[in-house]
Parts: sequence; structure tokens; C-alpha cells
Amino acid sequence: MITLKDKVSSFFVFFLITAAQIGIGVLGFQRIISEYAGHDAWMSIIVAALAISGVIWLMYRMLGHHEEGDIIGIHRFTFGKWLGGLLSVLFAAYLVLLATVVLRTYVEIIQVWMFPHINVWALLLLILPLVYYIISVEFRTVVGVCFLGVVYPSFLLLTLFFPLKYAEPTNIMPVMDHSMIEIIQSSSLAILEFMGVSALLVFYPFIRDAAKSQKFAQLGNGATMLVYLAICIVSYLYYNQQELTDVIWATLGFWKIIELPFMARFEYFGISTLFFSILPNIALFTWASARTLDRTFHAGHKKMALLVITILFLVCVGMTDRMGVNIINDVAGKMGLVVLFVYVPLLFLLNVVRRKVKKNGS
Amino acid sequence: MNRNMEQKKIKRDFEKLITELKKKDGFIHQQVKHNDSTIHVGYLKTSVDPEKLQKYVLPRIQDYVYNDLTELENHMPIAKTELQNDASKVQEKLVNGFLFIHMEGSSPAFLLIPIPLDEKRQVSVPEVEFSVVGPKEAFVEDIDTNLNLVRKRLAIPELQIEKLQVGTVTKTAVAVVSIKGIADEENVNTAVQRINDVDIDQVIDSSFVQETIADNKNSPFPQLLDTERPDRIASILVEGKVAIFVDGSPHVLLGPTTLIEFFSAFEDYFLNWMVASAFRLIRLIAVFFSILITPMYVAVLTHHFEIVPNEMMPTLVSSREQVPFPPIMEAIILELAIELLREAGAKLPTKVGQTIGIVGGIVIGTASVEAGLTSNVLLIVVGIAALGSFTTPVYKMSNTIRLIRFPLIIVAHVYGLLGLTIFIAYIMVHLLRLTSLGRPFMEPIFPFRLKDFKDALIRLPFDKQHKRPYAVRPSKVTRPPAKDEGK
Amino acid sequence: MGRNYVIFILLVVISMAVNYGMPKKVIDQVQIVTVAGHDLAENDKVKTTVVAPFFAKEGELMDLLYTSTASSIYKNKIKLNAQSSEQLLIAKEEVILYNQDLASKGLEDYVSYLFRDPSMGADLLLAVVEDSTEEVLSSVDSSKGTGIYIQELLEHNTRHGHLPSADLKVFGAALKSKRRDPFLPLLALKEGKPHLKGLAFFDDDKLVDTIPITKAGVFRLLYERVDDGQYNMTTSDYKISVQNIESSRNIDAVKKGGQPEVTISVRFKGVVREFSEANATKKLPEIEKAVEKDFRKKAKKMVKRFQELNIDPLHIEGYVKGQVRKYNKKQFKQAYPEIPINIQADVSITESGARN
Repeated sequence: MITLKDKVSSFFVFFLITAAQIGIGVLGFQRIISEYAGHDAWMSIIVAALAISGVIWLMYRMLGHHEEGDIIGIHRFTFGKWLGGLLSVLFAAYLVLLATVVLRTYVEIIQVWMFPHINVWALLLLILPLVYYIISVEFRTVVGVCFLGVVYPSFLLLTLFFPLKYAEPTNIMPVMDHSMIEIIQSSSLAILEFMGVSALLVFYPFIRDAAKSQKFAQLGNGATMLVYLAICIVSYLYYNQQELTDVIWATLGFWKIIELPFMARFEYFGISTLFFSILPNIALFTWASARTLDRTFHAGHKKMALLVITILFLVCVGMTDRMGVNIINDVAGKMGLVVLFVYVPLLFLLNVVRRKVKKNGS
Repeated sequence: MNRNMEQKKIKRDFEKLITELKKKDGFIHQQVKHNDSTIHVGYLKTSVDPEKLQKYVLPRIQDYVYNDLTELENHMPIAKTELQNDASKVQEKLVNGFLFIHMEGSSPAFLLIPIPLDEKRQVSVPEVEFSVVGPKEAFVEDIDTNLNLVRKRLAIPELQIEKLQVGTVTKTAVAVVSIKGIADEENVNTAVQRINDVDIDQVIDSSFVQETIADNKNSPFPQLLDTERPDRIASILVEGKVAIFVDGSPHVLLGPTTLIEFFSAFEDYFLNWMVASAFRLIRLIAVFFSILITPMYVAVLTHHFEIVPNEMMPTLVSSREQVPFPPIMEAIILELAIELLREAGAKLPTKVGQTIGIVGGIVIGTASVEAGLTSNVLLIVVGIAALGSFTTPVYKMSNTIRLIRFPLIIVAHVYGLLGLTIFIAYIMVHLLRLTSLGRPFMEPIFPFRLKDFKDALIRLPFDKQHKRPYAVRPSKVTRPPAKDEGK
Repeated sequence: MGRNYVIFILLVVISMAVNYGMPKKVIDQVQIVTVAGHDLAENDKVKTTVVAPFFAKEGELMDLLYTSTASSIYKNKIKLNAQSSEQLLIAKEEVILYNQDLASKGLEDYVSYLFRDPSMGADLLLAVVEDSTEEVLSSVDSSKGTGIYIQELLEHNTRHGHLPSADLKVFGAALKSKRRDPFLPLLALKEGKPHLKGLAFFDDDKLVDTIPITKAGVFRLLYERVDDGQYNMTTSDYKISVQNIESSRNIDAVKKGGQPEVTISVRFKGVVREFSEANATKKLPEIEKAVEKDFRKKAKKMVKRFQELNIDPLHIEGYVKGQVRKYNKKQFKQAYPEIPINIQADVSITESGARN
């Protein structure tokens, strides 16, 4: 079914994982994660990344045992056709939710920073055909977008040097002023930034030598961690904690102070460039969702892609204000926690049991 | 008896032929007495080579003694002559530059001699891809000359040439050239297969083939490289690519190609690698500049005045103060004006074209600024953009680059910088999906191949390029080092 | 295939058509305010003055000044727009001035819009004006325009003079932080021209103290690392000016007997440019000692004054929090006026100019 030509080399798993994880979160996660651990919250990013690394390991253990090697196959094998199908549909819904969070938050930033009068649905009509164009035919295109979506916006990391002019080391001193419990509490919030890893459950069979690609997945996760860590530490040096509680998008605040001889305000350029960073997110999640649905119902990938994008459109248009965006962010964060840390381990165990039973039976 | 009947029929046919041919313009009919018989010579004045006629054909008809045309044929110093009894076939041949000799009472009745007028341009200096250094030969319209120009550079038995015919009416000769053992057979087969599938009635130039065998016909980007330099073809054949020659076209197609190849001039290979790499990078930056600068101007002036540094504000604002149009109209008017200038300059003879350039550029430019119709900042912007697009070595690509500016300008007007990014993402995804003879067009950027970067954005020294570009999947990846050749 | 293209183009065209009417800010159809001033008016109202340059011709510029009074700044925006020929936009403001009365009342309400409005930059400069901001703004006559003029006045003094670096970001951070107090440059009119008079210190958001600019150099050396500063001293024997100062500053806090003890150590090196006596080279060690002593004396006096006023523009509390593990905010606040703050100075004078 998946021919060799559709598969991508295992090296691209690095970019797929990184692109799936780094997205809209980079703009405002600093405030969210500092809720419990305050200025020590940067440590909770490391904790979160380590936990995710464990989840990736679990996923690879589980996926490697199956011929088809994706969550739909595992569902069918473990729970049978009906229950398995239902769970797959739920998983697809979860992926659409992730895409919605990313897209809607980005649109919100556009509304707040660039075009307060923009018609959201009309803007989506410009963006969503692009998403369909990416996901409708080949997985290779999705990978290409992920690759460019990591490489091209990576120059934005250079902008982290500018805020250092205002760095106040006392802001993050003393280190370890908070208890381990608080740091772990904060890291449960930081997980939201790493949630994209769940797409691995779907694109796994598209990787050449998939079983051996785990090191790239772990490296990708590590790269994500470094990026978040760098941004987090720079923002904690730049903002004091009282300031941080006030700003919604701390990273955009950095860009305000960048002044180049030909460009006085970097944030307008930065927000636009960030589109390349969120596009892989949306494309990967919608693609994974469409593929999950297609594998469940066998209705054709293109039709399912169209369906997923229509849902995305309707949900994004339906949500109109900051409150709504906050709510879906929270819901997605909680669901991400449940999916990654409750459901995946549970599925792993059930899958092991089921395999044992089947082996003994035959 | 039988013979008489036949002779009569031939005579009848011949007279019919002559009356029919006399209606044609430029038909020349001469009669010569020879050995009691009459010899008729007929040809179309416009399609035979008068030199050959005077030098080889006519002297032999008169100087030799022969009894029938078979004997005469043996005296003719011209190959591919034909003996024919059927008068109806003669007319067809005449159009192709044949001359017929009819001898009364001879059988076979007609001797057809090919002396077509070969109107061939001499091999000259490349004009489109001119380079100061390096070989100075360019392809001409004749396919055999062109093939010969390449064969001269690649005198090896592995050079394989597959001749095909396309065009239901024109029946144009097409040759697919590759080097056996280096080029991937799959690429060659794809090219041959696609050319065989071409179903159009006329193929006048290689562009016809280029368009019909393109992977995605609905793309503004050319998916096969065309060049008029035989040296470039030779070099690229050695890399393992496939060349497509079309009779009647001085441009030869190359595939599979990549986006970056369109921005590398062949001159790069004649210069020191550092200089060449620097120029290549400058060219790439120029392209980005050329595509983005006008839309950026529109986006910033329409939506994001915050981006303009306060020091630059007076220059920008005061230059626009008199202009009655919004930035988008101003930009489109100027861009169109530049396009007009280019079109006019291209259509007119060189000398007049230059004058147009000067008149248009200087007079219209300064006058429109002084009249307050456009701002002088935009004039600079558009001028730079136009210059940037002209640095692209491949003409077809530079056309595409100039074209995609227009939708970008419009998007920039509505959605500002955001619109620009979204549209660039569209172009990017389009390029990602594009293939050239089935191979990815964006290589080596995606699929990412570090090794192929040695001759992409920059050009490393020749002895550092041990491997052929993997993009074309050559059969032999490593270039053979000289020492191993004897083994 | 063809149908897909039509649908795609249709969607894009709809998208463009719907958002086509989105309000635009064409650069020459707006008035870009470069500087604004807020004065306290009667009945707790605020009088806002804005200056927007009008660029008629290349190299020529005309400053248009608008004034109005209302109870809030954005109410003033309506009134100001009612006077202007084109929409006034404040996104490119470089300097915002507040008059001293307003600053004494508390600035919080009048700066919050700068943080909330995403179109504002973060590196715009704030300053307090002694009398009326309107007078200051109308007094400038420069081909650069009022905004750039005042901005550059402040900026070059920050780069080479006595003014510590402070912009909206620094002010905002100090204002939001409960552990330090902000300060702003103080402008005044002198013979009809604006000039940098000194520094204004705030207790939270209320102005409580000012110092003249000549004394601000000491504060600057205590406050931050200086790249190009100067230090002047007059003793009974001689006058001396140390220039091209490069300094570093360090604040150490230790807990001694339940009380934090703070040491501010400043080390700087510079060259002598003005010296009222001869043979400076020989006297360098002596001069160094004298400068150190003088600096310690001035700094001590300044810090004492801050403690008396119970303000902390030097961010001492932040350092205490950062270096003392068991730090208690309430306790510190109570103890602050009394805690010992030592000043250490290490001066090295490397050159004596072109003369001995």
C-alpha cells in the first residue's frame, strides 16, 4: 500500500518531530509554564522533554511490532474493528483539535498585532487551500513543508541575541528557588508545547527503516527542547516575573526592541515569517487526521482531507475571542496530557497483552 | 507491344505532370536533345540549390553519353538518387528539393536527384547565454549540425542518440541524447516515452516539446532547462542528464533539472570557483530581491508604516506626497511600464531598441516623477527589481520571475506582509510538488542532499566534486579518477 | 484538474475581495506622531500635545502641533483627530513626555496604554518635563522634527554622557517589578530651548525626587556598566576631569546577623583630559586615590538619600533576593532604610592625554 517511493528517509524524522512540536507555542509559553515554578520554570522544560522522550520510546516499541505500524492498525488489532475504529476516529478528532489550536491562535495574533479588522473566514479561505494543496497528494510534500518550516524560520533564533541587552541576571536568581513538585507541576503545562509528537503514531509507516529512526526522533525532541529552553531563559532574563504575568506573547515582545537600519519594527516581519513555522504544524496534523480517517473508513484520502479542512474552517470561524482561544488551548493541553501519558502507555500495555494472547492462541 | 503501351502511358502521365506543375510558381522546365531522344529537366527554383545544379547535374546531362537513365544515375556524383516510373510520386519529391530528369523512351522514366537548398545558419557566437570567456559556439537550427557540435566534444562510443519523430503534420526529428552507463536508463526512458506520447500537429521549436512533456503543464516554472551552448550540453551529459534535440530549434532541452540549475550560468564553470560562487550567490539574492522588493514596498507602505525607520520616513513620505494613487496602483503602473519597455526593446531592432530603452528609462522615468505620478523611491525599487530579473541566465525563468511579481503585489496590497508570506508558501509548496522528468525539482534543498550542494548555491572546485549530482540518480555516481582509467 | 484550479482561484479571489476593504494605513495618508506630551490639567484631566511632522518636499519638514484636554489619553485621541487633516497614528512615537505635576500624581494610568497597544515600540523614550510639555514641544525648531530632535538629545547623552540608559522597556520593568523603582530623565526649558536638566526618581509610579544632570554621572556609575562616561571633581587644590570612562559595577549581598548587608563595588578606568595643574603623569596614583574617595563620598550620600526616601532605583532588592536564599519581602522592605550599603570604588587612570 505504501510504496517505497512514498517513504522518506529516516533522517527526516528529525524535522518531522521538530516541526510538529515547534509552532505557535513559542510565542507565549513562558508565561503559562511559570505559573507554578516562577523563574525556575525553565527547568520544567527539560523535565517535560525527558518525559516526552520516554513516550517516544514507548511509541517506537509499540509501532515496531506491527506490519502496518500505525495507530489505526494497532487499534484494530487490540480492540477489534468497531471499538478500534471508534478510538481511531477520536484520535483523528484530537489531531484536528491540535491543528485548530495552532491555526486559531495564529489568526488571533494576526488580529491583535496586524489587522484588527480582518475577516477571519476570508483569511482562512486563503490559508486552507494551501493546506489542502500540501496534504492532498503525497506525504513527501508534507515532509518538504516540515523541512523548510524548520530550516527557514530558524534564523529567527538569532533574534534572541537582541533582548540580551536588557538581561537582568537577578531575574532568574537564585536558581532552584522552587520545589521539585512545583517544577513538575509547571512541566505538565510545558507538555503542551511538545504535544505534536503524537503525529508520529500516524506517519511511522512512511519512514524508511522506521525502526532505526528512533534516534532521529529523540534528536528532534532534543532540538525542540533546546529551542524552547533558549527562548525561555532569554525571556526570564528579559522580563521579571511580575512583567511576565502581564504579557500574553512574550516572544513577540522581544521583537519590539529590535531595531535594524532598514527595519524599525521586527515583529511585523517576524509574525509573517512565523507562518512558515505554523504551516508544518497544521499540515502535519491535518494530514495525519485525514489519513487516520481514510484508513478507518476507506473513503479516499482526498475526500477525508477535504472533510478535515472543512471542520478546521468551521471551528476556527466559530471561535471569536480571546476566551475561546484560551479554552481550546486549555482543552488541548489537558487532552494532550491524557493522550500522551495515560492513553499511550495504556495502549502499549493492552497491546502487549493482546499480542501474548494471540500468540498463545495460535 | 507491352513496352509501347507502357511508353504511351508514361508519356501521357508526363504531359499531365508538366501541365500541373506549370501552374506552380517557380517551376522550371528545360529540354535538352540527347542521342535522338529528348531529355526533360524539371525542378522548383526555390527549393533546389543552384550551385549544385550548375556544378554537378547539368554538366553531366550534356557531357556524358548514355542510353537510359540508369546509366545516367551512375554518373551522378550525388547520393540518394532515385529511379521512378510513377509520375505522381514525382510531384511530392519536387517539393522536398528534388530535381527530376525525364528521358523520353527510357525506362524507368524518371531520375530523381536530391539537391535541396540547405538554408543553414553558420555556427555562431551564443547570444542568449553569452559569456566573455569559454567556448564561443552556439547551436543552430539544424539538428545534425547540433548533434555534431556535441559529438565533437564527446567523441565516445557510449554517447547514445535515439531519433524520434513528433508532430502529426510537421514530422519533426527529435533526438534524445544521453551517455550510456552514466545516465539513469529510467530518465532516458521517461523522456523517450513522453516524446512518443506527444500528440500535437506541429513542433516548430523545442519549446513545443518542452511544454508538452512537462511534468506539470499548469506551472509557470519551466521544468526543463534549455540552452544554446553545446559545451553546457556536453558537460551536463557527463553529469548523467538527458538532452533533447529538436530539429529547427537552436535550443536544446535538458532534464532532469532543478530549480537552482536555472540560476547557474555556464560561465560559472570558466571562472575561479570563489568568484563563480560569489556571483552565483549574488544572482540568487538578486532573484529574491527582484521578486520581493516591489511587493514589500506595497505591503509596507499600505499596511505597516511602523516598519519604516524614522530616519527613512521623510524620504519615503515626501516622495509620495504628490502621488495621487495608492501604492499598489503606482507599483503596477510602473511595473507595467517596465514590461512595456522590455517588450518594445525586444521587438525592435537592436539599435532602435537601445534608443527606446534610453527614452523610456530616462525621459519617462524622470518626467513621471516630476509630474508627481510616481514616487522616485518606487522608481528605484522597480528599476532594481527589473535589473534583478535580468540577471537570471535562463530567459524562460526570468520571464516567470517577472510574472509572479504581479500576484504578489496584489496580495501584498490586501494582506500586507502576511499575504506575501502566504503566497510565497504557495510558491514553495508548488515547487516542492514539482518534478522534472519525475525527479524532484527542489533538489538538493528538498530532498536535502548536502553532497549536491557542492554545485548548487555555490560551486566548489572541480576536483572537490568527486560525485555526480545524486538528483539525476546517475548509474555511476563517482566520477572516475584519472589514475584508475587504465585498470 | 481544471475544476480544482477554478475552485482554488475562486476561493482566493473571494478571500481577497472580502478583505479588500480592510482599513489601510497608507504611509502618506496618515499623520505619524513622533512625540507626545501629557500635562496635568484642571479637574484631574490630562492635556495631551502631539507633534506630527508633515513632509512637504524632500528635505523640508513642518511640525504640526495638536493639543487637547480630556479625562483619558484615548479620549484625547478623538479630540486630536478632530483637529487633524489625516488620521493621527501614534505607533511611531519616539519620545513621550510627562510634566512633573502629572508624574508626582502617579504615571501608571498614563503609561499603561503604551504596553497594551501592540503597535507601540518598546524602545521609545520617556521623560519628565519640569513645567509644561506643550511649551517644550513648541519650543523646538529643527529641520529634523521635534520628535527626532528630543530623541537624539536624550540618546547621545545616554551614549556618551551622564544619562543612564532608560527606555519604555526599562521603565516598564521597574514599574511592574515590586523590587525596584523607576527613574526618568528630566527635561526643562532654558532660554526657550529644551535641555536635559537631570534625573527624576519615582517611588513606584510617583515622582519623589530629582537630581541635576551633573550629579547623575555618579548614579549612572552605580546603576549600570558604562561604556563611555565622564567624571568631574573639584578639590581645594585642583580641578580634574576624567573622560572615556569604562566601568563595571557589582552588587553583592550577604546576610549578616539577620540583616542583609550590601556592597556596591564600582571599578572604572579613564583618562585625564582636564587638569588644572601640571605634571599629571606623576600625580596619577594620588589622583586615583582622590577620585575614589570623592566618588565614595558622593555615592554614599546618594544612596543614603534613596534610603531616606525609601526608593530603590538601583535594584538593590533584586540582588538581595537573588543572592540571599531566605529572603523575605516584607522584612526587607521594613529594613531597607536602615540596611548598611557599602560603596567600594576602584579607579584607574590610564592616560593623561597629550601632555605630561
